[in-house]
Amino acid sequence: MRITDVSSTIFPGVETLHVKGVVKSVETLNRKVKLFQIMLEKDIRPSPGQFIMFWAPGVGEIPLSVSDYVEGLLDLVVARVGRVTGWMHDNVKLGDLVAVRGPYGRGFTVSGGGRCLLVAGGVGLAPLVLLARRLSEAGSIVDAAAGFKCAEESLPLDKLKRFTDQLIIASEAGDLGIKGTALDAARRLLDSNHYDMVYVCGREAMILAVVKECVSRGLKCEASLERLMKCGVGLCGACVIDPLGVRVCRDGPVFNGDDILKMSDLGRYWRGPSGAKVPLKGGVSAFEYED
Amino acid sequence: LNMRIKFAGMTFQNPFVLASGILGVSASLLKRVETAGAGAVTTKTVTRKPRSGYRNPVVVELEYGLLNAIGLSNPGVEEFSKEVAEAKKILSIPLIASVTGSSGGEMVELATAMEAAGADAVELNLSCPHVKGHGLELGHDPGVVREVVSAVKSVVKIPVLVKLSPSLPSLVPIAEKAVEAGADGVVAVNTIRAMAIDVDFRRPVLTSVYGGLSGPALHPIAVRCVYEVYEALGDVPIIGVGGVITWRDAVELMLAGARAVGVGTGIMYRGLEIFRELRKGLEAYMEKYGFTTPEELVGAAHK
Repeated sequence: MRITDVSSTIFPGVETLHVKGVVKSVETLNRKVKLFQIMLEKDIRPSPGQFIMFWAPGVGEIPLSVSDYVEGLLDLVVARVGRVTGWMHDNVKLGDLVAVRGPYGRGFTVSGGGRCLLVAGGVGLAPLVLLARRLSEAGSIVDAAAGFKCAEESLPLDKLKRFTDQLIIASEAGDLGIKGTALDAARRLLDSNHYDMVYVCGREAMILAVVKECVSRGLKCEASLERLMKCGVGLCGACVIDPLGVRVCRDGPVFNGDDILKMSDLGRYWRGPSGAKVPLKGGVSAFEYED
Repeated sequence: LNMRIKFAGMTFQNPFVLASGILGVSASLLKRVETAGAGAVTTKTVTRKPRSGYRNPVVVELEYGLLNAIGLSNPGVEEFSKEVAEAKKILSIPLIASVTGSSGGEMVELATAMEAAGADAVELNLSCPHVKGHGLELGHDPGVVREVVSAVKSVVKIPVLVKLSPSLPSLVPIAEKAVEAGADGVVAVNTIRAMAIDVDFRRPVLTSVYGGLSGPALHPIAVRCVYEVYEALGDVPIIGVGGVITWRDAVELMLAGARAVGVGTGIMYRGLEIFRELRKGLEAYMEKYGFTTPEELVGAAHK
């Protein structure tokens, strides 16, 4: 009888210590959002939808979506929301040495072929750029709907445009694109095209609305979620969502629409640093509460 | 094959136990661990008041293991009792509640609350390597350990387990005092106090500076500790914990004297599937050598 030996198969994704990189550019995208481009010393090969933990020594460490990645050049699109992101906005400059660990988590499914729709709400656009790149490389036709509060809070879409066929922009203020939300923009595309997959990222309330729309139309969809994270590797349980008991850092951050609709926590609760549930006000995403 | 084991009056469906500090924050996650094949689960350590833990970074992966200092973050006993009660409703395997405090009185209060919430056993965490006034600071003094264990034993009816630290020159005197005071079992070991320094930033990686090392680096230390405790205390049930990634690591701990085997950092390396992998591997090992129950392996390396 042969004994199954698993001793040589230690989790292959585990990287040790932080990977260092040099800041190649810092660009202000709008009043609240900056793009940091970092040339890493090591090729971390993230897949779209995965995240890294960004370490600001002496300040903290937070999960950030990989916005784009080309041969070691890592794009991070960062909104100023809390202590670490504020530190990044105020301190990180050209030539600085920075540290990340990862990539972590399960990203978006890229099957190749077909027609796909990306739905981005505000800075939720971040992880969808690398996704658009990979989808287009895999031979999918990519459409996108991007919603912003107003023109002033919009983000540049030129990179996304390189990988997309149809793109509809919406603003709640009506001063950019159509007047309305990302969902309104998405509906226009959903009404006139068939999609093999819809990918969503934005605030929780927006994610829920788009997922419900897709499920009611019988479309497959995936969304990237966010929770306060500590370990990032699936051990501490800080980011668990009830009642499925899924860890956003390891089982996600990307989940399929059916699972998302089963998450009673979504849009209602997240877990604070002690692990206790904290009500989520108005479907605002958890990261806005970073201490 | 019958993989069931008896442990301090409880029955585990198999010897593999979710170790404390890992995933044990919510009933839903504990249920997933049960579904993944664990024989029993241990909760995250609960304290009297809510604790936010340390600021990130709280973990860093090393070549040979994981360094962590989460800092005993937990929602506090009041909130956590509800979660334990909820977990007991949906779990069919035993739940061990881990508790720690800065005094015997606090330990008694917490153990009582966990018993009332329905926990099947309580684990006294006397070995957290990196939180001031908690854990190891109580657990390094045999006299204090004796006092704390007797105090808890005098008020709760469920089995009381004591989790020991590998950071002491020997954990035998502590284990002896705990058992004298009535402890029903020993959990060996917690993580070992350790640290990592970032050479580019020239500073400690963890915000709390010191942390606990787990994973493959801890494994041979855990084997030694379990072997020592078994040698000294014989039939006191031991949960062996430390760097269990494969069935071989688990069997080693059992041969050293562990009746059950804790799984923690292995989940980072192998995912929740580790519970099924370990069970399959142990079954194959038992078949190969003609063992009929995992209990026959316990302490078998002591000649």
